[in-house]
Amino acid sequence: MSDCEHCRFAEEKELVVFEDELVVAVLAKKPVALGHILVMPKQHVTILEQVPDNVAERAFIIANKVSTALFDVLRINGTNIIVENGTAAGQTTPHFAINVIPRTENDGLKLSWAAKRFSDEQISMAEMQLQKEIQGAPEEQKQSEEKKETTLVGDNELVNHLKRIP
Amino acid sequence: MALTEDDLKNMSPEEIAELQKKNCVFCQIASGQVPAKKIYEDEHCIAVLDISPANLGHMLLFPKEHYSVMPQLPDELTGHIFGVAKKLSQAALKAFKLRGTTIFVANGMAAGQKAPHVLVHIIPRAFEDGIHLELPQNSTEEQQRKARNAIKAYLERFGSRVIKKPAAKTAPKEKAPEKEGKVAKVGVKKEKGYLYFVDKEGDIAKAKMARGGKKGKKKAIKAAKKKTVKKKAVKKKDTGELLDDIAGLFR
Repeated sequence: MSDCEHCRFAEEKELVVFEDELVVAVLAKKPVALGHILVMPKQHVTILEQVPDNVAERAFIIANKVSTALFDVLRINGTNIIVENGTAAGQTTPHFAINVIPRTENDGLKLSWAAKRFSDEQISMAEMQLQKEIQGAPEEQKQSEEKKETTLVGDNELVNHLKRIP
Repeated sequence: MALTEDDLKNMSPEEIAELQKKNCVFCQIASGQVPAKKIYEDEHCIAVLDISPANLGHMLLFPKEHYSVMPQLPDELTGHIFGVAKKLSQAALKAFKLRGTTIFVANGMAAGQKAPHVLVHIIPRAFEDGIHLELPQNSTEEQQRKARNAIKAYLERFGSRVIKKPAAKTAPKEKAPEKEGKVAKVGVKKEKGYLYFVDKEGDIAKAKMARGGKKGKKKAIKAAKKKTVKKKAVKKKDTGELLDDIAGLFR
């Protein structure tokens, strides 16, 4: 039906553990650990920024339920919830997905990072830039709640680039 | 004040929760007792720059109320927090002209959780940025299939009660106006405090309204609050044992 790997997964019912009208949870084909689950919107969207708010919220609520289920069913000690959003973050399939990964002590997975050091100026600058973007957001949203889709699909160079994932 | 093991043993779960909260640095950031570089704040959550960032602009988003792990969050709050996470991710992409963000949550120490407060990491990403969060394959599809039935059954059992709630919420809203409309056409004299509708036989029937037709806004809000409290309690029962285990690791 589709070229998208994730869209196809959603059709493979023997891998689906939960679905409703908006989202679907499937067992990963290349699991990081036994019980690794992908929660994704049924609609084919590439990155989080394109996922409608209600669908994104739903997807994370379901991811949380899946995580809780894994705790109880697999008797594990932890879960990681990871979104690789965009190619630079390691995203390889152009269909937004939330990874829910079961964790146990000494499972050999290294999902951590080393802290980097930045100058005070760099940090203040980043703080300002982020605040500016966030504070600008609500107005834009009100104006273009309907336009959103067109701007995202249309002339937003950044998003277009992200969509060009093979 | 130093506490001994015995002190802890004698404390009720509520007292321990209170103690955790008092000592929680993220609760202190939320209340303003500890300074932080705040990026976003609303009624329910707050986002600050991480003091040991993986990359420049690495943000921590967390609920203002103290929850140790994500499974404890009420659904509305989970939805709200990740709605905000979406906005923050978008802001990072725009602000730094980047090609990606990693959204990362650790539940439990085995997953790398270091503080007993739910934290959502939003990490701006660039190619070759030295962060290694690749997801290597360690299991097989065959094994996954074996685990499937148990997980699916659990989600179905859990889901029928908890997951499907939002759908039920919207349903009554749609029905109500429909009923009102039909009464007006027939021209029945409406008595206050009753709801009129066309019943199965096509006759006009009336039903007493739950609040007697009074628009008690305050009452409604109170009732809604009560509901959410009840919900929380129920959820705790389901996962209570499990959550105690995970939360207990931090005590």
